[in-house]
Amino acid sequence: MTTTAPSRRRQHSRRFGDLGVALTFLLPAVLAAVLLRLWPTVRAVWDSLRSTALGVEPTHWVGFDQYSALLRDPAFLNSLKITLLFGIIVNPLQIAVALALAVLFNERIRGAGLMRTLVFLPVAIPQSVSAVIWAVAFRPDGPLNGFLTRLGIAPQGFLTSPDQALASIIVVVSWIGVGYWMMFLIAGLKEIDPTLYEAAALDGAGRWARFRGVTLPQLRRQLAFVLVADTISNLLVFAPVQILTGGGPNGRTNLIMNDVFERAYVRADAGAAAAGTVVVALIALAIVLVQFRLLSRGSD
Amino acid sequence: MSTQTQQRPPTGARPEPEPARPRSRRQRPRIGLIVLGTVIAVLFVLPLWWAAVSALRPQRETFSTLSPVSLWTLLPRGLTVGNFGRLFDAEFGRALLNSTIVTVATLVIGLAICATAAFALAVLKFPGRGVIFAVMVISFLIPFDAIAIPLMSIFRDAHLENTYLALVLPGVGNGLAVFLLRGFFLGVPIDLAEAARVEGLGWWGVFWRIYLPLSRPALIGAGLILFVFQWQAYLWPLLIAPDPEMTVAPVAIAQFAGQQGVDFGAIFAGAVLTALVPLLILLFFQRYFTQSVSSSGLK
Amino acid sequence: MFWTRALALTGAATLVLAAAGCGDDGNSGGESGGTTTLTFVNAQDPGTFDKVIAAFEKANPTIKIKQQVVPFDDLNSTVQSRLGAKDSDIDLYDVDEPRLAAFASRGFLEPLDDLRGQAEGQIDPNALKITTFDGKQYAMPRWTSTQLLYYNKDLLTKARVTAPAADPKTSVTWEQVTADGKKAQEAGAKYGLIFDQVDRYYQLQPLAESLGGGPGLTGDGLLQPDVTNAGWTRAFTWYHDIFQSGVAPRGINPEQTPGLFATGGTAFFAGGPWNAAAFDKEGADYGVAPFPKFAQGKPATSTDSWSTGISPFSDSKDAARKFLSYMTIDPAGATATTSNNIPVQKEAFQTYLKNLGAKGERYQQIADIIEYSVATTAVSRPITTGFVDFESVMNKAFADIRNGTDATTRLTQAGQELDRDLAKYRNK
Repeated sequence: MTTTAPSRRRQHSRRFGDLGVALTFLLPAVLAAVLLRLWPTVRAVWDSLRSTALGVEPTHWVGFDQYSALLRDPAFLNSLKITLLFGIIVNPLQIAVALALAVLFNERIRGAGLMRTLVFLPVAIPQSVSAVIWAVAFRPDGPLNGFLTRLGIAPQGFLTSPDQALASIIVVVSWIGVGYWMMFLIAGLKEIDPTLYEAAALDGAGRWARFRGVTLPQLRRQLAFVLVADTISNLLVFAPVQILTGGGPNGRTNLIMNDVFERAYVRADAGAAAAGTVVVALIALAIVLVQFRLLSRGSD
Repeated sequence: MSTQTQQRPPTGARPEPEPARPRSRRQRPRIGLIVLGTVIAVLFVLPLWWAAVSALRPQRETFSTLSPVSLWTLLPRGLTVGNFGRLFDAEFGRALLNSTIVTVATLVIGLAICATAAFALAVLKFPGRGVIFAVMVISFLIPFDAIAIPLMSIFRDAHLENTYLALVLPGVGNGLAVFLLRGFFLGVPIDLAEAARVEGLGWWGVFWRIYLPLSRPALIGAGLILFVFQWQAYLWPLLIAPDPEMTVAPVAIAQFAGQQGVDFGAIFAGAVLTALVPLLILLFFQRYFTQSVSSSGLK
Repeated sequence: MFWTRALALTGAATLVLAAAGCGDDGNSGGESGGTTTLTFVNAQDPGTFDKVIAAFEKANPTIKIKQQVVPFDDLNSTVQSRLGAKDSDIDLYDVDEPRLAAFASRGFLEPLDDLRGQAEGQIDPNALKITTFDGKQYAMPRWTSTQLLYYNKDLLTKARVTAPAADPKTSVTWEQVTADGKKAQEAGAKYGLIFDQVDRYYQLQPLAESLGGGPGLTGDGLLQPDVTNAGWTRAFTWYHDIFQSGVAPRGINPEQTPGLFATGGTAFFAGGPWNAAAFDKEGADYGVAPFPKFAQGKPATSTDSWSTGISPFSDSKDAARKFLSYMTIDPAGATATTSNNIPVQKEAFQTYLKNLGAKGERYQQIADIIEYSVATTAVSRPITTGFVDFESVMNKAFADIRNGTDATTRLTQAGQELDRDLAKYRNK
């Protein structure tokens, strides 16, 4: 630490640093996080160790029974598999598209502001309405099939086909998500110093070279944020699935949160739902830890 | 809306990114980009356009024009405001107002809470910083809908049911927003803060006069996070504020999907109005999106 | 400039929030100033209870009824969650009859044996039976329901198909409906047959019941799956085939099925009496017939509907009982509660049929079909603590079968899932 004028005061409170100030700055947020997120989670963990499946009898200690039952349940294991497959496809896809659109709408073209607002708009309408719109779009006699027929392509099953249902869900989720993440990347692009581009251009760098040499490295922080946040939000997605397919056909779209949601709210199986929640949170934690490690290694 | 260049205040003008290129070579790709951008924007907005058109036409037409696909799928033949009429008979205005109150309150309180926390985590040095950062990160990893039931018990014990406070609170302390802001604050050169401290500015001053003015893009991003969380809130309002006077817009819209028939016209009309509020807010803040950091004085 | 705007926004928000804070009248309490306010949670269309509430409040000036109307799809889940948190805000709530056992066994319903005494002779005994669990009355039945077959007159005429008879006692067969539906498609109809509630146990149980397959559950407490017997397999192989062959369309949500019939283009529609009103509004020209059966089976129709129960956590149970009794047992109250549903209170039922018949010939036919099917061919859903799990497993299986999965394979899988899921109730 550099020694500057107020260094005496700093030395005096070296051990506690700016603790007093920090506390006042942090208190509301920490209180909110602890009381409104962590405490109910602790209650959920407690429930998962104590409650009976039926919730009828007085609760008693069941240890890890809920967890072992869950991890033996083929439906839950299938949902893990589907969630993994979904994540592997949807995350790179959304980030790549969001980045491409961010770069495009950051260009100084006429109407760019209106364009990006339109792309963002799907996130502003209730998910139940998005689901209704897409249920209609994917109907066997719906506009998508009508369009395909005009092109001479046979009608597709979309949500009713085991091979296309997950892809259809990815379309819906991305339609909502891409514009949202694009906004964060546009904010990042605005921060990039234009003289960097000028310098690169003077060096004779083309569009692609400038994108790789200037845009990507300068956008690192925003990209890292979008990577982490998008992965987590896709892990927790369930409303479109719940409304459009209920997890079918044949469990092909049964994302993990849909499974947990159904246990909690449809079957009222509080114990299994709590155990499922804990599993989801642990997966999220693992993902974030791995991402943090990779990102910090990348910055060296 | 006019073009970006016209909207920008004079001080915000920045050099073209490619000043070295001759004009003629730059013109052609521009037109290509405009076409590409327009096509993409139209593709994204098409499903919403269909919903908006369906909000304005007689319900019978909504599905009878679906197949075969024609121009009439996307254009109304007869216009009606009957769908909006039914919407407001069901006091949708009240629901939309509730959603707006809850969301704006969350935005204002949430930004204050999250920005101060992020500042402390990024700039101040104190023991336990890592632990607190971990707490904030973990708080956004927990699926909110899955802990809504235990949270509801807590809120009911505190007699908060059917209050705005109960609707606002879960949205204000957003770990993801803190995470975003902290990342941004870390990127602000620490010398700025050090220098200000030397000149006798307190930490509040550093936060308020140096960090906040530099952080518009990040604040807007954090605002988006807070906004979407509340604007989309559905399950929590159903559980904690079921009184008719407290209904929020997404719930009010869902009530048109009854057991003996669904009023699609009213649902789409509700969706149009629900999308309108954020649209206006976005346009209201439009110029701040397009303003670069270079023009805001950081560099 | 940004900060001016942000500050303006903050100021506006604070003002609005402050104003809104004043609007909170704190009406959560049950009794205040001699007036009791009852909260009644339900998922009915707006206005359904306006008449009965107005009449009741007039007769009982010290009791006010406040409704909390929840979106239909969320009623069970939110009521369940709120009662699990011992929410004393709820006094009365609507219970989907097949879920009564699950709610009662979790302690979410107040026993109402005193009301049962009053109800004897006034309410259809079948309705009282299905709201009884473990020998106790747990809710008061309000309505029942049934199913019938609608057909599009134009499309059948064009295909030179004889329309099914409206006589309540003679059901057309599913085989005939399938064949006629195909003919209609050849003559220009888009679809042959549509179920109102595709993939839902409520409407599909009668298919298996018609072929003697039973409700799908058997044994002590109805907790053993029985969905792979001959009746079930044959019924759902047929269900699979109508979608496979294109007579029925895949991928239409239950909310969108009535629209397909109402706008023409569909030959047959299996649905409830409530669909008629929507078809009239669209100006469809349709005829009605009793719900079909299989050629080698017997007639069977869906039944039951909503009942209302009292929360054990309510602070005003006596007032709640008063309202419940008025709404379900009192002839005038039950009539005022009818809306467009079929009441189970005997006098209200007769009034309902009379009013329905007075609306024209077609409605007289509907009334006759209702009267006959409710009394003779109705099969209730199984009364068991495991119903919710059973229904959710079966609805998924039905969806998969509709989407092309082989019926035998999928029913076997559903049987295994049920075996596992119901075990926790069996071990009790």
